[in-house]
Amino acid sequence: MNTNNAIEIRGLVKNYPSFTLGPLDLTVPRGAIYGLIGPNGAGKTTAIDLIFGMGRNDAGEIRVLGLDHRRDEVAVKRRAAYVSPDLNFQVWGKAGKAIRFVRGFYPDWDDAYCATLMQAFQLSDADKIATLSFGAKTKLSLLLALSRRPQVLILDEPTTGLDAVSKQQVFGELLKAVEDGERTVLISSHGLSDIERFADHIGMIKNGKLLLEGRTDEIVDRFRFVEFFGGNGTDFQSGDGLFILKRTENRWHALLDQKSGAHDWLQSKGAKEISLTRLTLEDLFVALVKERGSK
Amino acid sequence: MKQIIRDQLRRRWLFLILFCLTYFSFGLLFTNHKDSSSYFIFFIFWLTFVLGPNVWLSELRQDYARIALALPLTAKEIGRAFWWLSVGIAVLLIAVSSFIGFITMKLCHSTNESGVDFWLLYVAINAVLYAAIFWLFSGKPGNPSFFRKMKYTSQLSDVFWWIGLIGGGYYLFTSGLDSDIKLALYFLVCTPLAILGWLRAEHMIAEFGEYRPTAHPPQNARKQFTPPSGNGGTAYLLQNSFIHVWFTGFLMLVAVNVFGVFENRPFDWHHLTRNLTGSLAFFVFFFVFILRSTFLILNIRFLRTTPISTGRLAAVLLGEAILPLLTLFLAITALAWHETGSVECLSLFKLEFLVAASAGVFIAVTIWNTSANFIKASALVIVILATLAPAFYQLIHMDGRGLPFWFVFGFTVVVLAGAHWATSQILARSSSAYRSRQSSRQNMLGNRWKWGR
Repeated sequence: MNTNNAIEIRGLVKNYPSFTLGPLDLTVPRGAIYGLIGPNGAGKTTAIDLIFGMGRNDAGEIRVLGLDHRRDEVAVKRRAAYVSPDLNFQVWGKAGKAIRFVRGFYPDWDDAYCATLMQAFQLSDADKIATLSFGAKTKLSLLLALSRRPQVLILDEPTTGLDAVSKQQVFGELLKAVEDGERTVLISSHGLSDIERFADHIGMIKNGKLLLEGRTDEIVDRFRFVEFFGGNGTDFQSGDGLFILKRTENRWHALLDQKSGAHDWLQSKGAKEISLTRLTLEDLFVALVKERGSK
Repeated sequence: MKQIIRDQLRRRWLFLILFCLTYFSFGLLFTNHKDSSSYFIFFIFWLTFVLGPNVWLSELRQDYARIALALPLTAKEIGRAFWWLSVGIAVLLIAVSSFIGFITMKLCHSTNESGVDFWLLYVAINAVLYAAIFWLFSGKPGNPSFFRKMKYTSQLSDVFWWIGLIGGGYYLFTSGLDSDIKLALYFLVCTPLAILGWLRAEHMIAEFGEYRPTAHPPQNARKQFTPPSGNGGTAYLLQNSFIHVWFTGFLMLVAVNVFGVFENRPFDWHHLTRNLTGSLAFFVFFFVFILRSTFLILNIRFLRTTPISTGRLAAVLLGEAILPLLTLFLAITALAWHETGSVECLSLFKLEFLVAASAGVFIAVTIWNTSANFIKASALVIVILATLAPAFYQLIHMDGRGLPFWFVFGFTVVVLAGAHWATSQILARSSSAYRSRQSSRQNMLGNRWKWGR
């Protein structure tokens, strides 16, 4: 295991009656903003939950800042914070009470920063959690995580239910939190445009398996939409680096991995008028998730 | 761990006061060893369910486990904290409160025959019972994967444990505390369960933490996502409710008779009805009612979107919980009538009517979001106690000296009408009625609570 990585997941497996996560390998470098993306039910939340001991993995290893997630469970949780709209602090009644409860666990709790965040998020001690909007509850969850100044921040779909302004606010605070280059953020989200903008690394999972991982710009740059005309009635199939998306008579639409040599392979098979188009992370995501026949 | 315990004690001060007062009152009852028989032991059981581990563990169902697991604590520490709250501290409070009550009564009545040995026995019974109940609420033992795959076997095992508990309780309190063999058997069964509860506390937290309601697609035996159309699916709801309640009632009858075999007693309607009227009916009614009403409350956001008026929906909410139970007990007493005579059967009817009235109020209260407002919450407690009072009075006067039938009937009709009006008003005027406290668990028609994913 490399100590330069904030989170390392190796061979992680979790079995459910109707779903299996893994074997999953994931590497989040220190100081990175890492976007974990995937379709619904891909296993993103399960993987994140396992880091925090919400469930037991059947196999594999998870290390956070070099610490084993089970053996050093408490040490991991001191250094890492978890944010999710799933967390319901309603049992404490008021925001102030929830804050006082959580701060008791962290000697490094930053009261001044907490007060700043409360102002920024327009929250107050007296706010009744039951009456807060969905977005405000998420902000409270984020405030509770940021105020402890964690080295690793893990966010599970934190922008769900947030308006555009709140989203900007949340990402703004996240960027501030990592500006010293020491803190790491792992963020799972369906907001792909936000992920493309803010995350410097991404990992894409589907059906519990990792499809892609790496620097965001490199991954987006690596793939292209390709259109071509098939020559001599050749029937092109998805293969290494080529993912056939659509065929209209003799005109083919596909996703092409530029690193794979699929471009040369297409030419050798007689494909004509090959045109390549840049794509966004969202385009890539949709194409890879829709593509069924990849080998 | 200490922070979790301190936080819970701080937030639940009102409950703790109620808890101590209840067991103080019990201490006052330690007047005579011989008096402490059937009813006395029944209340030990009943209170354990009402004030016991279930109360402390209830927050785990409101995402508390996931929040606690994100804190720098292990599942074992959190689980043990809840064990100490549910068992350790609870038993300590029982011991102190009941002892103060016991001493108070001893000072006031020098003729009090009970000694400290009886108080110790009482505390010991409660201690193992609290610990065993903690185990019961902590989930199935081990929960191995093959067990999870066998859906119906898994559910049957739940039923088995509940039958065992209710039947065992019945077996114990049929002859009071004076049977040494029964007491020995009680400790023999409950002590291992108490130890298992301590050992299972960690897994309980891990499994609660692992459970994400949103990850569970709504599903029932017919693989339906929504109930069939027509009257907003109310027929479907009522049908389900009747099946569940009558099935539970059938199991209860089986359990009562199976445990009768231990006493070398042949099947006897009279005996059955006497016990049902005395205690079990009251307990089972509430148990089944709470299960059904919780199901409805969790789905109320969805039910409100169905094409029926608020008035009719309110009637469905009340009827779905009350009608199956009333008809079940009507059937039981009708069967027993010939053997037992009208006095006992009428007493049972009166009791059930009164509990139905309380149940109606409970429905209205549950959907009314008090937003932790102390005055509103206190007012609701007073209303609930006021509607429960006649039921309690009837429960201790089941020999025909209870409340007159005209009063019972009139009281029930008035209270249910009021509950219906209040429920429909809340549904019509308040948006909070549609937002259950566990917001993530809405719209799960046909889904059930599972231990783990």
